[in-house]
Amino acid sequence: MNGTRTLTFSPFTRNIASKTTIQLPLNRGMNELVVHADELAERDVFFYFEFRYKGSIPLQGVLLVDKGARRISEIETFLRSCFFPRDCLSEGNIELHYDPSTLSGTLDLTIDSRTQGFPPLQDPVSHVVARPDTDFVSLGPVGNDVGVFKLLVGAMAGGQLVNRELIIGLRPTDATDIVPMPTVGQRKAQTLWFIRDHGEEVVNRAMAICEVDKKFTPEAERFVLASLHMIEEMGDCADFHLVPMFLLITRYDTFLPRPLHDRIQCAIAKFRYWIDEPGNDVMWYFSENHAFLFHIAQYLAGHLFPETIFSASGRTGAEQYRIGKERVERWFDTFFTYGYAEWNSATYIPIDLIGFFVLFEVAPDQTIRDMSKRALDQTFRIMTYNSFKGIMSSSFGRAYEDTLKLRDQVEPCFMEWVAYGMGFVNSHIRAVSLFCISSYEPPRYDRDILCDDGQWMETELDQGQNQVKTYAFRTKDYFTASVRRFKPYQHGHQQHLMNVALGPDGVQLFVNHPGERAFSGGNRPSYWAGNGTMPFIEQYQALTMMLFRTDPEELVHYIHAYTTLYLYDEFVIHDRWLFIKVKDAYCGLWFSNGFAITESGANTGKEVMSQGLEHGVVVRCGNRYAFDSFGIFIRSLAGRAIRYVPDDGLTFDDPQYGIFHVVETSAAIDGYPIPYGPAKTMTIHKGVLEHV
Amino acid sequence: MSSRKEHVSYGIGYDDSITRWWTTAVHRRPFESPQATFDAPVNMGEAYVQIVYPVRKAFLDQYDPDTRRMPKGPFDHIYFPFENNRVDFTTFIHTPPTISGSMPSPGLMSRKAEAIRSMSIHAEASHCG
Repeated sequence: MNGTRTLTFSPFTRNIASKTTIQLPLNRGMNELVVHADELAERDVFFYFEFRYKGSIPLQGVLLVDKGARRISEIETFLRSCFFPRDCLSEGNIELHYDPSTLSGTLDLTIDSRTQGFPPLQDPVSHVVARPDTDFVSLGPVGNDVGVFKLLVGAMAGGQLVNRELIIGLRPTDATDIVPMPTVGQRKAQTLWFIRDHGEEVVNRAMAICEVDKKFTPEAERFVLASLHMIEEMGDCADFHLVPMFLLITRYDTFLPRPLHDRIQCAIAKFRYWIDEPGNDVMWYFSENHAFLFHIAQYLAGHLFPETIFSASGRTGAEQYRIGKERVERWFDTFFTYGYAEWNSATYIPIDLIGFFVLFEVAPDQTIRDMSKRALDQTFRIMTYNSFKGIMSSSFGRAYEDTLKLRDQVEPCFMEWVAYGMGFVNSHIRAVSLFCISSYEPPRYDRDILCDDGQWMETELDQGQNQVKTYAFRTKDYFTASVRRFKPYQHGHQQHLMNVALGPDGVQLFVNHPGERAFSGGNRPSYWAGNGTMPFIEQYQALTMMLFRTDPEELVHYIHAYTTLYLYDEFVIHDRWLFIKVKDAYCGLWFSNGFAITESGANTGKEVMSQGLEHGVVVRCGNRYAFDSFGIFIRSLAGRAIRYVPDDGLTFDDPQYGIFHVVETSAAIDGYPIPYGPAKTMTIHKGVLEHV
Repeated sequence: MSSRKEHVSYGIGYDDSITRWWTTAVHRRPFESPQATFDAPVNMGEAYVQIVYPVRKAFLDQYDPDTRRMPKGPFDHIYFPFENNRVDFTTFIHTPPTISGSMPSPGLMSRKAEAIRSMSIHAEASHCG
């Protein structure tokens, strides 16, 4: 402070914030504070600091600049108002909307799609002009790019580029609206042609090129080299690249130039396959998906090169094979006993699938191939039973912003498209590509989940060693899922705890507590993914009741719902109810503290917010079959008794189910506790909806 | 910093964050540590688990915050927070570098500066890293 070292604070607790209270002596007038921060970056690195003022006298923060102060403020206000009206576009122009009242004149904007962790646009518009006489500017037509993109929208002022990040999904009709052919085999062939030209630039895509072009093209080599670079430097997630590499050097070896083959073999011999081998990398070994892929890599590497001395461990390949096989078998044993620890995760199940497909194709042991077949069947069953209209619409053990908001862009959607002709073609191709070059075909789980008019189906499955109680209820028109009674009132990470999908396109909706303030930040929990403080949730068929008791130390003191108003046929606000209609699907959301639709900034038209730390929330789904009309649905719910008192919980007199009461960590209907028994294997019930 | 003449100013009330800062670039330097084995269980849940790698132990062994010299710049980037309360450089890096960044603050003025000869800021500092 003013040139004197005032505080040294170095707890270095990786990715967990530490806090201290300090007194800073302020002189009269201008004072200067300098902060220096250091860290060892290991994979995802949460690197931030916050100074929160605890004094009572109002202060003025002053950013000194050479010039353009007023312009900087204007641009900040302008950028804060910017938003994309739709989270995902398939056609037309990409329109960036803004509040024209924030502009005093025209403003030159730069657009940059080269952001960390996201692919760049192939043919981007880099400069546009925003004008005060209109409220949007076109960033050009939706081109051929498929995926989720993070755009930096910026403008210069006072010699500084002021910019902010906005996320948008692109799934152009021209590229992705492929009519699925009747059989799995035909759809696999269609998909390989798509992957030849689209998707992540990794070794998996190179194999699709080999399948389609029957040769190793320069592009294929570029994709292999990108994966090989990750393996050679043992970067985090190298295991995602290494396991498919074994399929490349076996099935497609004749396509490979000899020097490239030798370089791959050399990288395999130098790789570190587990933490009992010396190393100084920061690869993450300890999640379910990573551990599995490391074990597979050790098993296959040892088998393929039994005489080789692996440099990290000093073991022969034969020893690596034996140890790797034991580890793979132990992983499967745990998996078949408990199921997925990262339950239903649309992000990480595809990583496990990489391992299953590669083992299914090249494992030297029939027992391992049998286990991978069983695991594939089990996984396709989970994906399909948790999908609605081909979109995985359930709760997730781990999720990210784009996993939730751009649900048609996640890999299980593409899997469902190949497997059953439902879902969507998209840019996530790592497991899909392996599925398509594999002989594996899943059972017809899509037939199990069919619901005709008036039918319903509910499933419950305890997953993982923690026996997380995942629940889902579906009709022909909607799907509503949650995790029942999961760690209520604890700080969250990436757990996505409830979700609704509505109508023939599976319009997504969820309620949670934001974990940070940045709308598209990289922390866990983030604004959209996970919960700062997790709620208590109980679900009974189409009714979900939520109790929020947010820790006052959390950064955000409101809850919110992801509500894409632009996709609804109709919505009605009635007192503290928000009623939504998507074709024949209806949903009513009740917030004890009321709510407000977000009408400015990045979340415009996609969010409702309810202020406060303590809340009762009701989420009730219905359809035309049960309620006859949207108007009757509204009257049926809005006319019922509903009450929330923090100490006495939430009570709702449901028009079908009776008086539903949740308090603290218990739930009852008409005074009787709601059954909460074990479901170690998936329990399935089906029935017929009652007319209300 | 004092040669800069114009002000972008904003109010800071109780529990508000000081969010607009001049910053250096975030510097990365590869960190080499001895090759080592270690042991830790695989996470059988979905929640975050803290596992201290040998590379981190090596980093902490050689790191002495008291000997770190406060950098002199150049402070040529402005951090714009928008809705964020944090000064946030969160990212993803596949291999282990050390990263560091420095930020001299905005000036801090009491709105009643003319009437106050000196005062203290009572603040909570949170840091992740």
